[in-house]
Amino acid sequence: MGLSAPLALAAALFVALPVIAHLVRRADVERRVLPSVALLRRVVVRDRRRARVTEPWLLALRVVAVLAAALALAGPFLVERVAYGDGSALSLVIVLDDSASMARRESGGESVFDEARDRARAIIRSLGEGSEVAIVLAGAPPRVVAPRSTDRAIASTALDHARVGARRTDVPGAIALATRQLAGAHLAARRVVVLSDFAFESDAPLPSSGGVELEAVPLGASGPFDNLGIVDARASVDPLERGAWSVVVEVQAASDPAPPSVTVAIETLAPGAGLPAPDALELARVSAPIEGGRARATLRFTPPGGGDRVAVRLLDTRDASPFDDERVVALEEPRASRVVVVEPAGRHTGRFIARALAALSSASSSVLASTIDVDGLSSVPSGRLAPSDAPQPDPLAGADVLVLASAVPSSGLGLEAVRGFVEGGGGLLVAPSATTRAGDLAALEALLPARVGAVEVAPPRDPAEPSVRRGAAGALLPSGPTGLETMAIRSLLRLEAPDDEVVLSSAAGSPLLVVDREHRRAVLAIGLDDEMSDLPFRPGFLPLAASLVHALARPGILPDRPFIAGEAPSLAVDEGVTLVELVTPSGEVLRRRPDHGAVSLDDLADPGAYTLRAEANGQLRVLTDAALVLVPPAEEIDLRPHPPADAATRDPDAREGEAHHAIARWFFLALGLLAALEGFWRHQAWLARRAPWRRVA
Amino acid sequence: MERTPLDAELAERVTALRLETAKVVEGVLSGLHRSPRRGASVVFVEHRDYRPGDDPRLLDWRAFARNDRHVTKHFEQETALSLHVWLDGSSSMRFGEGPEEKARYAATLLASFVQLAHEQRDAVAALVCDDEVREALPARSSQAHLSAVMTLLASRTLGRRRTSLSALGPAAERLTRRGVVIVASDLLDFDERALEPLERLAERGHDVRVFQVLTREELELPGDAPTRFEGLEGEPPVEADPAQVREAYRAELEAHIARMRERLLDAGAEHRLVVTDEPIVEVVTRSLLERGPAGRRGARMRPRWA
Repeated sequence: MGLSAPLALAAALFVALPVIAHLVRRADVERRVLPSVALLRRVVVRDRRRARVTEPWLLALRVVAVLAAALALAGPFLVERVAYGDGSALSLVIVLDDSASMARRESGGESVFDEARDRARAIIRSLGEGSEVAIVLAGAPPRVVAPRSTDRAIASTALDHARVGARRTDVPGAIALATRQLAGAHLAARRVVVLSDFAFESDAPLPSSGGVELEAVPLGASGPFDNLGIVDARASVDPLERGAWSVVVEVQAASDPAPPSVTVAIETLAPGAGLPAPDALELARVSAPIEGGRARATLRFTPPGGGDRVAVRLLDTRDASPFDDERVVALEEPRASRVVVVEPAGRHTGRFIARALAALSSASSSVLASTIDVDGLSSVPSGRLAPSDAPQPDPLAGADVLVLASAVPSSGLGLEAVRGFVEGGGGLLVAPSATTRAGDLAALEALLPARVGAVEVAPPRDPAEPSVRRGAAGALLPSGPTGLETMAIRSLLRLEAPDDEVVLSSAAGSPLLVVDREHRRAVLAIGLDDEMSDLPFRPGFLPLAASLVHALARPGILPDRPFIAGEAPSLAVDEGVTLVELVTPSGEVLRRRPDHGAVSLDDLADPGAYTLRAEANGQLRVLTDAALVLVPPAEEIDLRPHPPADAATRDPDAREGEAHHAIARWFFLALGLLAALEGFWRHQAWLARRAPWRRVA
Repeated sequence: MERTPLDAELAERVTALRLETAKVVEGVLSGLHRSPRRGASVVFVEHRDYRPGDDPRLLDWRAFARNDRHVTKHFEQETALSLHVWLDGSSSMRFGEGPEEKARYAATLLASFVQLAHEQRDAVAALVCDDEVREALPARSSQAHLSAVMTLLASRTLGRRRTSLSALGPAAERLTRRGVVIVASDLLDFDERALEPLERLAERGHDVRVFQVLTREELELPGDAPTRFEGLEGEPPVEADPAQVREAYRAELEAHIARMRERLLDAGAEHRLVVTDEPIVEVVTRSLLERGPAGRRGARMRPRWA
């Protein structure tokens, strides 16, 4: 509430006039003649106090009238906060940032997200009649949680259910989504409001399109912004002590200046318990120096009772966001990829790849390799996979990748076994030998990602030029010096394949390695031994073998690494599974029915460990073969705002204003009513003065 | 009209006063039922037309036989007393509307007594005063004197002077022959010595009758709004709410009236409170009929017309 002309309130001083007039009783006092006035004087002198104020009700009426007049002249008005413009109808999409950085708490204790949500509610309340409103959440991936509607209750309900998740920020994507929401709006005024802390790196201007006005409202601009967060935490079995684990924790300091060190602790975390864990038992603690804004700490511990998860926590950070100060680490041994290498009978063409996989197996326990004979597709397994000599009726049982190292099954049974394995979801890598003929691979051509020809002698090359080039799918290749570029190639199998599946090609452009990652099939134009090239002797052979195995391996049912909200892979389940239950870190049970053998996890946003239960054949069993841990994205640790250049120029309150609703007319009405009352009063007094005893001298 | 030269307004007032007085007297005589003059004298004076209320025994049957008219015989008698009417002519008497104006009412009341006295050939004297004697007429019984008295009562055109009954002192001292003194005043004179002339008259054997003439408004102080009350004799105004002070004012006025009445009764005079909305005929009749022992000392004289 305010006054247009506050100085006009000085007119209220005129209230003294009726007061004085009534005190001195000179105005409006009836005059009458009374011969016995001397007698009356005696009485009045005795009772002067009661006769002091005359007509108190009339005095009150006049005082109120004067005050009403003063107020009316002062122009009183009610102030209403109007979110946008004059409150006329418009189509509005509110982009609400629900990324992890919005969990930052300001000095008042309220989170930036709470402030954004309150601001959104205020905007919705102040919209003009007939306005449409939609809510889009800007945490990756952007989502429409309230479609455009004139029913504001929908948007309000969506706001009530919105909460901060362990998501990245995708404000540009959310704006694009919001703009699409306004495509069919029937109102001419269209606007997108972005409520975000803009704590994300983006040099690109905020997207906009014709007819849609964009408003960026930076929130929490006053800080604090100093923050420490866990970037990564990985657990591995400690090889030096049975039952012991080690966790490597990487911490990022997004503060200036950064503290000299950070203390990291490992605490127990019971299954189903959320963060912070109640009754947690500290297992290890270490202080790590922060250098260059980063700290790395390694903690060794032995979990009591064989727990399958622990909590990593930063101690005494006192930073802005506690959201990234804790993280759940699953104590799950990584699931190994099981590789079966098939060799021709009597030849050890797979020895190099087998030894490479064996080396990987001993290094990371992520690969279990075995070698079998092509004729029988059966051999005695080696390594940890089959420590005993027990016969295995199906050498491909449990295998993830089949490597045909210069070996092509000639029998129908062998071909059928390979085809069945591949069609069953197994990975396949085919490598020729120098004697492979074009027809030899014809039977497998349907399973290969490329059309194959005959083995040709490699054309001579300039020693100064690289013999091998990285193809369009070269991301599969290991980084750093690999020696593959100068590989000596004596002969190669002619391949024809789509460019986007070529990982390596010769200097002449002939594909050397083609990988179909979708169907997990690969073909190599040169052998896996040293007959056709010196590939096995190149430094990059081992990492290339590992990459190939991981690329071709059958995916596990669950990811073996933590994921962030919005980027979770689909949960592949067996056909018999009819229901999947996810127990969230807060204990809430989410029930999902598989769709085409998969369950989407994209809507999970609360950081922590999720327990999975699958119902099959009427029985509910816990899936324990992998961890499902959701962590905040590392990008959200830096809380300092980086608003886009165009957004930075906008005043967050520029569109917000005050609507003044004048209420002076009420005071004028009151004034008129009071005047009418006094008129009535005076009329009655006039009638009374006509009484015979009233006569003015 | 009268022989006294009168202006038009005064003539009108005199006419109105005489008409009113005639009515009063006629009513009074009718109400008395019995002529107060029966057997008063044996000296014949004149015949008068018979009027209802006259004693049938006074009918002159001989005159009826001769003229076929009903006439009554009137006889002259000795007059030992004279009637003195004193009218308060102060400004406070000019209060009231029309016939209820105190001065007009008082003049009519006194004129009624004057007419009655003249009817029985009593000498009548008149006096008008405020804070001093303004006009005075000696006691006479002639018709011309009657007209002069009536004119004097009708005029009552006095200045704005205060009521001061003490001004009657010299006039009272000059009354050596006992008589009847009728005073009409509002008695709004708060001087302790105001009543002394009347008290002395009563103590000297005069039949003193005081009519305190007040209006209903003075008695009741009506109204319910704050009012500025102004006097008629130069008193400073008083502002008061009648609703608040009414009871106290009434008590004060009643105390004043009682005080006046007490003093007059103690002196042997008669005190009557008259409200101007009362019919004068009733006041006169009641005064005549109830005239018994006047005052606490009892009546020392009884006029023949009473």
